[in-house]
Amino acid sequence: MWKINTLSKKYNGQHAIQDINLALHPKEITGLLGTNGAGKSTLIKSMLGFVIPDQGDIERAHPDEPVGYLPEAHYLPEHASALQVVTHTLRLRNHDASEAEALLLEIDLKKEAWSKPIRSYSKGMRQRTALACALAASPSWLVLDEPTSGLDALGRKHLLSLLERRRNEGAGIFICSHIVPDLVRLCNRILLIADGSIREEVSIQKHDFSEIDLLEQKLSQYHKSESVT
Amino acid sequence: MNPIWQTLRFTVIEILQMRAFRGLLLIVLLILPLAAVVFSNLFLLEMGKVRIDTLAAGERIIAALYILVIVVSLIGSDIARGTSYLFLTPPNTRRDYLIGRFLGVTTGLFILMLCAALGGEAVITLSMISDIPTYRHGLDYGNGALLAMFVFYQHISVLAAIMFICVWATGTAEMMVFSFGMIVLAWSLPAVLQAMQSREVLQHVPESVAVLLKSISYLFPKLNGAEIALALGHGLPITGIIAHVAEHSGYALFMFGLALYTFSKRDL
Repeated sequence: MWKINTLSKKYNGQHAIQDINLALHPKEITGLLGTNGAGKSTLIKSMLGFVIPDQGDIERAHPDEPVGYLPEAHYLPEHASALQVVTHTLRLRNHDASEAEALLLEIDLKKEAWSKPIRSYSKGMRQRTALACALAASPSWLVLDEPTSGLDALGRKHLLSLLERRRNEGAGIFICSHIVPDLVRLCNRILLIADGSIREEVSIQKHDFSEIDLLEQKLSQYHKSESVT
Repeated sequence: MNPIWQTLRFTVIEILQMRAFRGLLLIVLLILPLAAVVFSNLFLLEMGKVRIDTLAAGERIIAALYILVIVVSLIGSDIARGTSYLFLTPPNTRRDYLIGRFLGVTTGLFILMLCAALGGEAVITLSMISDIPTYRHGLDYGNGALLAMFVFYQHISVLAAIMFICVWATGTAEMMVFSFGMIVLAWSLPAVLQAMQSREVLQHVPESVAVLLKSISYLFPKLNGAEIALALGHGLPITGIIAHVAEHSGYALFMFGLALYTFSKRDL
């Protein structure tokens, strides 16, 4: 389990996140939904240690196990190739580097691009490479910030089924996305965040349009209350 | 694999694939030795010394270019643009990452200076086999390699200072400006401060000013290295340079320690 207790972070005196309590479980996909500036990225970066919180603590069972992370805005090493970057990630996680090719096949990156420098890649190819880094060494936790950004319809579909497969294999997944249908299709529960606080937790049962509508209404309602405050 | 070693390895791979680095390798292997030979022929006396001086000046410019063009862009992309997010997830630590990156960029500079040493030795050999004594005056085999290794050693302390600037600054533009300023000051200021601390000058300034001048001189590594080129160009003993080397080691350790501390405390 990954447990977050009363996590808070201020930037220039303003709360980016405030008193966040959260528990993530293995074999579960948890979504994080909120408007721009609601505190999603700060929460994720605090969980991973990129942002140093002002208050609160984070406990993760087996802290030595790797965590895969796909940042929203990623800037890959431009001069290296996808194969080199993924191999590097695998080695950093003490894993067999020969798995890199299988991983690039899994994320559906064209084979002829594997050894080319990343500076020649399209946005979608970069997203796939960053995703391969996140998935390297089969981490027990995956934290994904806007994972479908830059992917075409087929790529998006492929990614969603890949994440479902990883969940079934035992990984705990935390996804932040603006695309409500993607979250509803994948998630077991969705957390709604506004003004730096988690306002509501919605359990997803039917994975259908009614839940998409419900979440969009709630999101709009919280967005209005954010605008007022 | 040890994360420090793995980060070092990947950093070297990245550097070797940069076209700018390959360009610098070409310059130190071919263009700089050729320039030293051609330039020295404009002088009538002590051509060997002119060759060493040209190599020293060229290698220092190349080392500065390596730091500004390659190191700042690499570390800048890591920190300011977020490349490090991909590799700094638990259980990898910021400490291992920064040490690996520092050792990697230092290895890159070593490769560059190793090629400079080859180019320098080619120039020395050309001078030594000449029938004209002014080409050989003050030179000895090994001086070209020694010069490149001294330039490499001097710039390790600059690399450590640049690591500190990069982990402290907030954007690539800021990193570039401060790094450029640091290199220019390290080149020019120590010589000026040294002159201001001469016995004749100190007799006419209050003690507080003398202490202030000394304190400022500790802020920058001494990069002009004129004494190194002088010793190597005139066949003087190089034992006097040991203090210079020790000063640079201390400076590099202090600055890199500061970089590690700053990196552990900042938000990414």
